Amino acid sequence: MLFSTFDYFIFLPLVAVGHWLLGGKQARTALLLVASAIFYLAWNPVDSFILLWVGAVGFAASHLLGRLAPAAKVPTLWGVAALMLGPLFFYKYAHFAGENLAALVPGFTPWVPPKGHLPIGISFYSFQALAYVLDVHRGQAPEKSPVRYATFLCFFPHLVAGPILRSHTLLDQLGADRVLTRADVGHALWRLGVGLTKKLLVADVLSQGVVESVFIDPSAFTGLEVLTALYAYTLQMYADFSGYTDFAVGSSRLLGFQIPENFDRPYQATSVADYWRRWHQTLSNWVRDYVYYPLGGSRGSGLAPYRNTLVTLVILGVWHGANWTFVVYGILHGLAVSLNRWWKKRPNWRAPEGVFGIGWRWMLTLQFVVIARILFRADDLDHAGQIATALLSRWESITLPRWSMHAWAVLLLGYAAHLTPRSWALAVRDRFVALPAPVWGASLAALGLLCVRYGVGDSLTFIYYAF
Amino acid sequence: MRSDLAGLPHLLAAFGTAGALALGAVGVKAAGAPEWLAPVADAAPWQPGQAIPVLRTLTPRQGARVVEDERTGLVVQADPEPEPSAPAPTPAAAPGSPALPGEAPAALLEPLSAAALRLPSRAPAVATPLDDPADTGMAPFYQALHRGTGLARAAWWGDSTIAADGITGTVRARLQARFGYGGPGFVVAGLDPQWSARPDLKTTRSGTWETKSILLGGARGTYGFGGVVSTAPPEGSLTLRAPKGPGGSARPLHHAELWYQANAGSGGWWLRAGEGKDAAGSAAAEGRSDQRASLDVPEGYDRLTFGASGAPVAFYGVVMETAGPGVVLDALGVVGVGTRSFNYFGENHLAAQVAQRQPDLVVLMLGGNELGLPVLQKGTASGYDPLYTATLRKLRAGAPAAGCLVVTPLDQGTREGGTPTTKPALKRLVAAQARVARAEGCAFWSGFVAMGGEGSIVAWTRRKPPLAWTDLLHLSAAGQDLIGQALADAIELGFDDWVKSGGPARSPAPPVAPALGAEPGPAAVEPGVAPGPAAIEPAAAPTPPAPTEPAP
Repeated sequence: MLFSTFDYFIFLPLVAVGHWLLGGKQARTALLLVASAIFYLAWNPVDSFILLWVGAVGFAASHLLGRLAPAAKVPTLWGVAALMLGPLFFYKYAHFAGENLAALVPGFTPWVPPKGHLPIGISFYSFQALAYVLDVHRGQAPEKSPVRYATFLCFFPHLVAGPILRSHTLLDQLGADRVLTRADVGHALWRLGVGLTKKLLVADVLSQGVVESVFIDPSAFTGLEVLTALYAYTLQMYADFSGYTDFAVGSSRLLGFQIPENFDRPYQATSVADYWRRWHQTLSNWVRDYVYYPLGGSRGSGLAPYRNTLVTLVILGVWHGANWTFVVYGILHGLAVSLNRWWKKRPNWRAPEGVFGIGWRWMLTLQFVVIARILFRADDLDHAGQIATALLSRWESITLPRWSMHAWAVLLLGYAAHLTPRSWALAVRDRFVALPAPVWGASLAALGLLCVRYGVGDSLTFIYYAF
Repeated sequence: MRSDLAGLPHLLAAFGTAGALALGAVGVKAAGAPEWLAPVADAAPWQPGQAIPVLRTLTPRQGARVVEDERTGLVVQADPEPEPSAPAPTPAAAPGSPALPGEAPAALLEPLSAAALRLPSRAPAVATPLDDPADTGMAPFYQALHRGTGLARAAWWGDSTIAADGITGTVRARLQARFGYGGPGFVVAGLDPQWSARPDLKTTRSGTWETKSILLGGARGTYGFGGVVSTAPPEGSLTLRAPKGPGGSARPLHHAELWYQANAGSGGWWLRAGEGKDAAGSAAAEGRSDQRASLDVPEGYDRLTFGASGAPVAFYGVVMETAGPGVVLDALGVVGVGTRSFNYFGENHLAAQVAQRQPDLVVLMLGGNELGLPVLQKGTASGYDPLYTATLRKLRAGAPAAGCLVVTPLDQGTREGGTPTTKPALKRLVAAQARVARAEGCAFWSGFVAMGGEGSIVAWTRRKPPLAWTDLLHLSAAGQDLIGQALADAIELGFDDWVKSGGPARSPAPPVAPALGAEPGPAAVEPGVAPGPAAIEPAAAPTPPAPTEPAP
């Protein structure tokens, strides 16, 4: 079930009202588990078995670890990780690995699983379940209730595309008394409205009005059109994924949960490292805590911190998919962060100040992020080459790119809104929250009408569902 | 109310209000909304008869798959997602069904006929034969193909559907592979991705050229054979290199022509096919006139360079041809144009240009930018017939003995009202063009039917790789190739049937097109058919076309 559909806007209030009308914590938790199961089963019932497997292994392992001798814990942990990540590897990486192995070793023809269906949310829940086991290994008490554990893993607002939660964040709230205030409802509806706007009125419009046509046939467009399409894709990515997060945060709030944010106006970043602190924050934090720090982080001398940065960013890149484009994307970002780090380590370096000092760093960072999106969007390296070639071609006669006024308006207004100070958005939100409840509802209905009038029809799948 | 549930009444009030408004929209829709409430009715999230929300997400769904009829390539079931009013096209009536007054012949709006069964399957394109019941539309072109000497020339005017030379490029390649390479043909001097492109040619341009076309006008009626006139700055030049042959072998040209405009204040022109400036002259004249310079290309050369010297010169284009035997297909697409864009041509100017080119076949593919015309919004759209007829006659006036082929626009979609669907006016436009084709003795080929009819553009966007852009207006390169192949199949089948049925004996052989030019020397300049300024500059300013639906 997609968040940005009419069905979800029936499903969510039904679950929320039912949840609050139930008396006890256990009953509420059970209802959330059932609702999450319905939400996930609506995608593909067969995939539920994979979720069940990953969850069961994680739960069993968390209880087993405490009973093992210290020497046996680490080998066991590796085994558990293999069992939990096995389905992810099989569905997401085995085809890629097999193909490349066959290409690298002459005469060697391993069995390669067919490339195709990726169970929805597998990257998110696999990482989340593994993180739970690692937290228990590091000293966190294992969750005793299988229902509460299952609800933590399957909680529908974040199940298929995050945010990736640290286990204690949700488990603690599941065990605590929750309240629903008027402000909670107002904040939740605001986030749902923002998510709807980002997804249906920005991301989908840019996708259908600009982006997809260009990336299907880059050679049919001028260099300026390809460049604007890259800007459009960059904005689409943000609107799509942060729109999902808005739905997740808003839905959780309606059920009495506070889950972490995933974005902080990433295209306002003034360095690539800053960008990764603002983009998909929960994944960045996950990789930082479970990969970068164990590798040594920024400690160590010589090239070690740079190596750690590069490895971490490549893993971040490959997390998105089994494709050389993501490997190169990770390397590119790793090199950029390393370069930034080296630059700042120079003895006489001082942080630039003033509008110009910050402005050119912002501009440089944004251009890097936009151009690197070629690799993020391309089907393969050949396709990336085609897009890059088209980007550098046909600049001899510069004319206005052939997008509709609607697409232009969305592109320009979208960037303008993204670049406003955060305090402005908070001020508008607070005004909305102060309105009477029927006005909230009427606003949502009016937004629905706008989405029908100015959207692109059936809502498109969220981009991050593919990861 | 318990303190931990203080927000619950607000939650109920908010969702209750939103739900009531949504139900109101559903009610308005079900009751048949008055026009002023149409936006509200269109926003109704559900309609009686549709699957129940929420529950419908739990019902078993088929996996994403495309089911095609093996014989015809017809998409029978394309997608598990709700496919908006995209019923599988039904088998057609027998070919040659009589036309009903005010309606198109039934066979022309549907994909199948007996001839279609003999065409190759190119799913998801639908095998679609040419309709040429009077045997008059294609015969002159078939005769030229059958002749075995000289060149068979086709000139194809259209809008953005062919401006990138995708469909036309495929048809050209197919026909040249079978009947011989005749060269790139006529190429407009104003090649530009914004107007019209020829990706098969390598081009190098120097200087900033000013281009005007029949889309926006501004050239006082004179736009040349391709509807695009481009003025080179002093010392500006353009080099065009013909495409390589199979295996990368060079394919030399034999004949070149430069089409330009003489006028007061113009500079000199030059044309080079070999090492030096093989031909040169002055474009300065007292009055405006259309001129043409021709040149025998030195042995082994496959490129042309031309330009201006001293002062600007307005160029229409160049001809790049071999001695034949072979086929030439001139791709004359201009982004955004419709039938009324041809009103920008001054009186006699276009006919004179066409007469100079001597095509054996005139092809017209327009209408994609006209679906917003009021005459196409209801009834049989008979008001469109005179518009299309006038354009067709204007093109044919310069080559009355040439054949004629009407190709309809491809399927186009809209997202108005939520779910993507075929634009409502499209089927009326296709029917109108079918009527005009019959009435004017032209052959007819429906690109709309060849795509699969209603809803096919939506299905084509969902193919892997995508066959159409998500603007629901244009095909991707792969989609254009597919349509080009389907049309080439139809032309070749039509030719084979024409030969088998004794066509060569029925039709008088047309004169051999002057592949090497009628000019005596290696370079010759001759005036256009219209000699004086009066014929070039229309007495009155050409009627500007009424605003048409904007084309991207």
